[in-house]
Amino acid sequence: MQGEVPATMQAVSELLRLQGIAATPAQCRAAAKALARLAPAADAAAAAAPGETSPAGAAIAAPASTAAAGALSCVPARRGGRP
Amino acid sequence: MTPAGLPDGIAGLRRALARGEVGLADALARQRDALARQDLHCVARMIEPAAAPDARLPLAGVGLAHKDIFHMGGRAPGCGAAAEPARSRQAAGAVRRLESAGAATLAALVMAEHACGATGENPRQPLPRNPIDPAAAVGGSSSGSAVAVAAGLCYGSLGTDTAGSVRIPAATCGLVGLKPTPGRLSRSGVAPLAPTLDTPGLLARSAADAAALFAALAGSARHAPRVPAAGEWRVAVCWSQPAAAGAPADAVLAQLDAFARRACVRPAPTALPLLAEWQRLAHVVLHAEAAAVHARALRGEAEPLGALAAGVALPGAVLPAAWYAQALARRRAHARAFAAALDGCDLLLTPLLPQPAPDWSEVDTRSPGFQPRRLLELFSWTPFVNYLGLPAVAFPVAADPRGRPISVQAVARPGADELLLAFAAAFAASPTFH
Repeated sequence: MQGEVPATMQAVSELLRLQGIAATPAQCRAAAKALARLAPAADAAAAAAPGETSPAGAAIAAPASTAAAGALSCVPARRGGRP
Repeated sequence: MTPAGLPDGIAGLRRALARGEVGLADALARQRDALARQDLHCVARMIEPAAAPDARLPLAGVGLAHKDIFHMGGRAPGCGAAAEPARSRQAAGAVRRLESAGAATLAALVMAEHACGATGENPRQPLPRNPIDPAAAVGGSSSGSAVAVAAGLCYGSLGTDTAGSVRIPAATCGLVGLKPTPGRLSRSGVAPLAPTLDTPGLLARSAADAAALFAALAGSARHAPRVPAAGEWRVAVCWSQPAAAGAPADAVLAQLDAFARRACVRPAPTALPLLAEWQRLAHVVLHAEAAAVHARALRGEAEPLGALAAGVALPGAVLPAAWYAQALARRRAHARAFAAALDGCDLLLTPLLPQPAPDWSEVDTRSPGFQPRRLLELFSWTPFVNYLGLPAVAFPVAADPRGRPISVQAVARPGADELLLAFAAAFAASPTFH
């Protein structure tokens, strides 16, 4: 996931530019990491309709940036919480 | 007694007024004076007094102050941003309901910029001070509301809750924080963040005060569930989730367990295997809609967003439309899954904050001691409620050794707002925090 961020960051930067949004590299990086966290789990069942049981599990790393951490924007879904 | 020298609760104030122990105009002047003199960094602007209300109205003499996201006092909301609020002809619908019941609107209260933040951090304002412990953080985004109510400077406050912004500040300040069922309170005259998730809510020092304010705001429920008698509450509990940030500390877990046993003879342990997915979908909707709401600011055509607000809106400008469409399309099915998980219980209990309220130095993103994990913990149990369209109430059940509140979150089916307030009234810790 971490290795995908630079590529995603480039795409994010281009998408923002197309919309006329000027963003700093740090903001693009934060947005790219947020996108990675928001992506549906690779395991298709995780995002399936209720009833098709599977724990959701978008891979999550630490907060991308202070801005993202402070902005109600992180979805911490790392496994390994209290059983 | 409050700093204005008035009874702490709405019922006590109303009794004092009825007995002539204090005059209506005097009571309001004392409340206004106390709020104007506060040094807790919670007031955005004072509001000019209106004509004295009819003393027979149920909230006559009750001073309230609200998050600066509502139209009130002849001004548009400031939203914690830099621009001077424009003039406004009409107050927000919820503010008008309270004023129609006799309540006085004393002030607009500070908030995180554009309601983006799990704390009251706002680079344009000093950090709001937590009346319980000045070192303790104040949750956001309705931070000024929590401070003013906890300090006894007003009897209640309207806030807004998009991903926890009423419940989190309530929990850090030992208050009752109600996030109602969408549609129970008017959203007219409220600045949006993410319209699918936004819900006006309220903060009060006690469940009784919250119920009095909610009755004035919402009227009677059309299909309100029956409130169980003492000892008959059927309570589901879920204390854990896959996200590490949501795992409660042992000391918190012990207090929550003890509380659940007080509230219910046999609490039903409940797994929520889709909780992480609900949280993810809540954030997809939040980011996408925040980007739409703040599109002009993102393009530089309006006042630029601060770092925290931009951190919410920017990801929404680039996330695939299909994710957002799927999140909306699946919402109803997920709400049915939640109802099934309740399995005959009246309500579900979860932690609100998995740790006691953090220090400001741990969650202020500009502090050298900033710990992102502590910030994540603040909203690890709240956004799913907004995504599923549920009502929830946060209230204190105990205190940690430093005297900071430990709060529980009770979540119920849509429309069960009064049931939640009755539950909080029956089992909330006595208001020893204030």
